[in-house]
Amino acid sequence: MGFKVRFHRISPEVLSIEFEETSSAELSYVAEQLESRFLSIQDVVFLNGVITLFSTELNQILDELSSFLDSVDETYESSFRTWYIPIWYNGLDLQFIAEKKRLSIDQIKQIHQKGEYTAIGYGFLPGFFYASGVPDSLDLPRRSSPRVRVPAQSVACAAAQMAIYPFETSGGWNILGTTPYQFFDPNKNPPVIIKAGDRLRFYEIDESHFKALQLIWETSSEREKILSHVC
Amino acid sequence: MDAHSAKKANSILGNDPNDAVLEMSIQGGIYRFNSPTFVCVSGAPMKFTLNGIHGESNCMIPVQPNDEIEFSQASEGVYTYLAVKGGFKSSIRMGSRSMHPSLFGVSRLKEGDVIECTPIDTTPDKIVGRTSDVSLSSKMVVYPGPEFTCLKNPEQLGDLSLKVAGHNRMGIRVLPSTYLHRRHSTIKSSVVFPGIVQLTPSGELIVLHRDCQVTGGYPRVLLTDEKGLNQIAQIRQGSTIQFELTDLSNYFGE
Repeated sequence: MGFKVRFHRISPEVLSIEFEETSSAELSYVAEQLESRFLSIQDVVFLNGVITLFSTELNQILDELSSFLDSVDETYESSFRTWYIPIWYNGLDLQFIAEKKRLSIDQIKQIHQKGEYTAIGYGFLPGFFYASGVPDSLDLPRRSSPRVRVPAQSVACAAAQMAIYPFETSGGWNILGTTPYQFFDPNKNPPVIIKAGDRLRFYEIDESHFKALQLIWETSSEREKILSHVC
Repeated sequence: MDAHSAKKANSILGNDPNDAVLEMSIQGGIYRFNSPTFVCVSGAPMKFTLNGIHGESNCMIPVQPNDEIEFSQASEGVYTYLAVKGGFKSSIRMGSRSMHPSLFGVSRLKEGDVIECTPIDTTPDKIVGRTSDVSLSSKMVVYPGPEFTCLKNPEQLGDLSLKVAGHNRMGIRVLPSTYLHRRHSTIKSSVVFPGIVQLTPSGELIVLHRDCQVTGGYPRVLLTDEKGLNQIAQIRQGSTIQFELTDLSNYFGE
């Protein structure tokens, strides 16, 4: 029963809790429990073995937090889905990755499609989820300076993680390609359909296929249905 | 971005501090009122007229239907605010009236847009007088961040003149005039929030601001507080700023 944790107070209103050997699905479960148990917590972010809490009343809840984490029930039920995601390999960094890793672009595509990735948590921007499982042969650090504009739905990797940019933004990851689908809808609850623990696999489409799928997506009134076929 | 100025305008009108205000970034605009209300202008100094007559910032101004407020440009600073009595009643998504592009598709108003506000035609009981103008100081307090040890010679930080090289709602990039890395490092993606200062491998510092991401992978070398955030929001691109490194215990009030 309970988790081994270390507390790191970052600011008067921000506390990071570092967990020992906890899976992303467990972390997601504990984050949910904390949010419903402590009403004074304004926000919770979980990623890479750390849950961070935002609260203006941290001092008042510190003791209670410790005893809650000591006694929280670790058993929970969950089921995970596998998502098959189309990708057009048109990424701005394909050539850069090829040069750095001494691979051909075809080899990059093959390695990327062979991999199975696991969603490990949300972060960065609304609808952005991190996935682990990037093979060493594709792994590169983040760009030395972030790009001012990364196109929406870019599939990118950096520092052993994979992600899909939910909309156009600045960002420092290496871009492999683009998917025609969006996985974030602020009008839905939850707004992101992929959850921690879900698996992701990618399959290649060409430009014309991409444009066709994008058109279907943009004009469809049943986007959820399309996404469920992705699965 | 400068929450202090936005809250000040709300306070002068007797609003809730978090009521929605209109934020203007250097460039103003013309706004016509369709119903009677009271308004207040705060933040970066920007000349404005009400029906052609020069208006004063940081005070409550009554407006009538068909009145027009015309703003020019900010003479210094970046962000100027227009608040209305009761706050703008723009639409709410995910618990916020903030016009983040990811939620609304657009993040700025365009000609012809209409924003709802509650008509008010009786003078509010309590009129709060004028308060001081926005602080445009270029010295900003910073504290050690979680990856402070990635910073080379932090004791010399206060001597650096940092140039503001980029400015948006996610973050403000400042360029150091010297090499700041103790060692090259990126961290596992970790939580970030407004006030965190990241150090990129190319040596830029990024002061994360109101619409920043919630996680990031560059070392979080420094941290600033609410006052620092409001202050740097008003520093224009191309201007310089100095950091004043202070012990974290001062932030915690210990």
